[in-house]
Amino acid sequence: MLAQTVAGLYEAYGPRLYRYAVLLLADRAAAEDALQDVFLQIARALDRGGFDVTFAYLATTVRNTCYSALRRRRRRSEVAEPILEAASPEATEEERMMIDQALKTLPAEQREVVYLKVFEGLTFQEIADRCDVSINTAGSRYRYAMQSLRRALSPGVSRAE
Amino acid sequence: MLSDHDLEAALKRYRVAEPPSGLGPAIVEGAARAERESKYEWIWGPAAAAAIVALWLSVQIAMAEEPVDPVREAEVAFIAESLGGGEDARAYAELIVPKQPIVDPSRVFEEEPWQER
Repeated sequence: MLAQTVAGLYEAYGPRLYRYAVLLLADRAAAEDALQDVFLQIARALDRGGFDVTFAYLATTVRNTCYSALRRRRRRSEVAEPILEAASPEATEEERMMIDQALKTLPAEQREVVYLKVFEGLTFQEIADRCDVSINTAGSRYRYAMQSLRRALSPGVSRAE
Repeated sequence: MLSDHDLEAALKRYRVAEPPSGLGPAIVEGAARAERESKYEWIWGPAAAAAIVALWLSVQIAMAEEPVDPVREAEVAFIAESLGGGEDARAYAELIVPKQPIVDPSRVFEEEPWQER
């Protein structure tokens, strides 16, 4: 019964939560570990007493788990495995590698804002609520992230016509 | 210089990696294991309590002293003093004064075994 509930939650939200964790941690293997930890926590909490598990609750739990993992990580791991995959015919391997590497060099807080803005399509207010920061802070983090990405990518990224 | 629009367009040509196919089953198995383990959790509390009580009882029994026979104790002390006192005299007195079974006064007036009703 519990396993079925967890299976349903994973089917509904798992992939989206995994992608969030990958961007936060810049590491697929670490994201897998984080997700397993989160769902185990949820399973135990559900076993003790049922409660409504929403995506917002799961996203917050994933976020907290990832930031705890980042604090425990002594130094940035040099992970070769890419965190991005091509999603368009215009994508190139060279560009993907450059963007991948540029994202990995960003601080986790900036990477998170880029992910939520560009890949999840959230507004700055929604990002501020998710990250528990002011809208100005969310905006600043995005601006700094884009400046860093621009410096890293300018020579190699094709411009849209 | 890339504009924010160009940069976002570049980013959107890619997506974050999807989870591996084995992640879902591993998560569900973890939940199933947690459910199995929780079914036996209720045993450990009472078992621990019973173990503590048993340990306490055994300590109490081990610490219980033999009842002291005051008459024998007086005889041992008298003989030990007669021999000059000290540990050796005491030890010798303990050896030579026999240990008598302590009579429970409450049983004194019970019927003798050979008496029949």
